[in-house]
Amino acid sequence: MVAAAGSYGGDAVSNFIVDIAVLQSSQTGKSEWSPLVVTKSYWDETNWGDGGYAAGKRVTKGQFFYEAHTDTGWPGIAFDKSTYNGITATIAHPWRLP
Amino acid sequence: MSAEQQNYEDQGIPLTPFASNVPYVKLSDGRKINSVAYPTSVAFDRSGRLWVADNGPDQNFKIFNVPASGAPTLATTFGETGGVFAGPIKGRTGEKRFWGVRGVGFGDNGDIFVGTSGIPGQVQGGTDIRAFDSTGKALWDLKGIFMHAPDIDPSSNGTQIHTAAQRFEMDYSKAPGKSWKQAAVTLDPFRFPGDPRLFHAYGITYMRVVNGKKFMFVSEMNGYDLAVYRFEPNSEIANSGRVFRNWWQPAGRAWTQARRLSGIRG
Repeated sequence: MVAAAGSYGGDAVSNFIVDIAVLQSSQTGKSEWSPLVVTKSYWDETNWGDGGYAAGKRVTKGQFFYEAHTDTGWPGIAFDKSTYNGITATIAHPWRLP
Repeated sequence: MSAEQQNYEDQGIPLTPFASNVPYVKLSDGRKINSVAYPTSVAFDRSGRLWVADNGPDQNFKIFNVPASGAPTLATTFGETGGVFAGPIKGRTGEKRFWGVRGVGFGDNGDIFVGTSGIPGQVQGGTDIRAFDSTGKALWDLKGIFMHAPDIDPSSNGTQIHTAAQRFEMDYSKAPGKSWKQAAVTLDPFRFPGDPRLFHAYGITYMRVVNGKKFMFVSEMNGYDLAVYRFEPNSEIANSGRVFRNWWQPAGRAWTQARRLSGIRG
């Protein structure tokens, strides 16, 4: 197991995640980053956008979180939902304010 | 959903005040999963099983079979039931003793990635990414915490360091950056839902030993109040004895009266 402090450097972790997404090399174009874990943060201590992590290291930050990658036909990361065989699962609430 | 509930969910705090609006899992064909106490994230794995992060007392992932029709059924779970708060030593960390589960995802190679943020996430928790292979064997993890002014347990010869809600162990024979590890979580939001650390940004910690017993004092960066904690026997969990407000605060008279304050949330 590798532990790393949340500070500047290759092992830094974006603060306070609320979800993660995992990208494959077909989505990132970088086999050395596959699988790539991308974090969605409520608030990021480092103010550099959200992080991307592979093999126990931070390898990028903000890059795939903000890019839609429509050039490749991939619409970008979809946090907070997941789809399989045409069925999409999400988190819902009984009621919401209008 | 109210802004207050949204803040609770962002922080991962138990939703006790919002019992009528607890989240659930919704499928696009109209089916629902209501059996997960506090779902925070969903992800289908490569075989089509639906993983649901449960940030309720179980602190694990519920894995459902989702047939073409009919109700999804719970197949198994991932992570120790109760997470870091489970026994035999409550609060003690472990590879699958999760704390504030927030996300899960999968690699094409079958690897499992878990994201947790602690409870509450922003100040007392942080970020924790753990990777496992398809059999559940731990591969690596990364951790980050909020800025803290921690303190050393004076009885530990410098090897035990506390923030307001975590304990770290030091091994000074290792290189800087590799010499620490998260050893325990000291805040249990399920057994102690009124713990002030859930609602105050305590980032300053003072550890003291009195008559052989360990006590923890925590405060905010502006020094508005001081909370005092004692530790449970045979447990890592600390619980609150008193919260004092400084004399210049509206409730400051309690400072000199050593009274526990009501309405400490906020």
